[in-house]
Amino acid sequence: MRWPVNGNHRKNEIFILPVLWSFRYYAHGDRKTGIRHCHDEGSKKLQGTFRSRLTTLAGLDWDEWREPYIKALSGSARGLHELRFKADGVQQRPLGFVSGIREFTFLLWATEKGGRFVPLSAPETALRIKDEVRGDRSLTNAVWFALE
Amino acid sequence: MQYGLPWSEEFVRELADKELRDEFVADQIRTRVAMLIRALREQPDRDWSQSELGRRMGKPQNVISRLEDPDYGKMSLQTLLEVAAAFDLPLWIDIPEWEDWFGKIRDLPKKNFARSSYDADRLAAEAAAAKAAAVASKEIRFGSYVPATSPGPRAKIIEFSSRSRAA
Repeated sequence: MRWPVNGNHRKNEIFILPVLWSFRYYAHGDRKTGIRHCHDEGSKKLQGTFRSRLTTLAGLDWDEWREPYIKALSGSARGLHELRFKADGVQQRPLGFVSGIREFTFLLWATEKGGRFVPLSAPETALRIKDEVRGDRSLTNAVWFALE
Repeated sequence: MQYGLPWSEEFVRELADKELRDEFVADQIRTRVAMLIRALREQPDRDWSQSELGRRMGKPQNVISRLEDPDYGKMSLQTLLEVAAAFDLPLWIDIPEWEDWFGKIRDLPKKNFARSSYDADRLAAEAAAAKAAAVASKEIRFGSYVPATSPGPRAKIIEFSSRSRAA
């Protein structure tokens, strides 16, 4: 599909890719690791970057979801993915999983310091929430902002 | 897709906060540059390692790794020129209208993305073909050249013939 971005300027006609992915988040997170809470309490840098990365990932096929943008965790955290970005001098690592066809659900907001998650139990907690969420989708909401 | 536009009412209203908008724009551009460099490097007919690109730029591999990191935001215009030159591609920088920008950010350098290095024969052949078509049609052509955004025909010309313009 070709969509003229501005009908008055055909010279600027470009090819626009559709949004492929939708995002949800666990809506009952606590004040320290809840996705919405950490986002809303974060700086504009954190908020703008998080929104930007989701906008980008939403337009990519699954095989293009890779580092340095997102990383599949291994070992005891297998089944989880961490979004990777830096904001406010901190490595932000919101954790989530692929919850459906082209749907990704964020479970909790972790950060990384010295190669370790903060909180240290983040993957373990995320896996527990993942089990809850898989059993009851109503524990999640669609992300609160538009991707296009 | 929002009724023919690459943005919705909600999307633009949520970006009404200037500080948030500035951060969003900055990250989109940093991400795009990082993805672009990797996509060009990994393009099948190049398939360069980071070390190979570094060698062509006269930089160590860790510099290329940093350039492909969307969190690294200190790339200079000179570095961008050197990256483009290493691929033998031109560089284009613009400060567009928002309408255009919202469309451009959806045009990601994905896996089938490909850009050809300078090839005088190919470019000259395109010019010759365009000239031949114009002569054959015996019409004055008012139009614009739209670069191809995916593999296939290199480009197309949107034509507005002298007749259709007159009409």
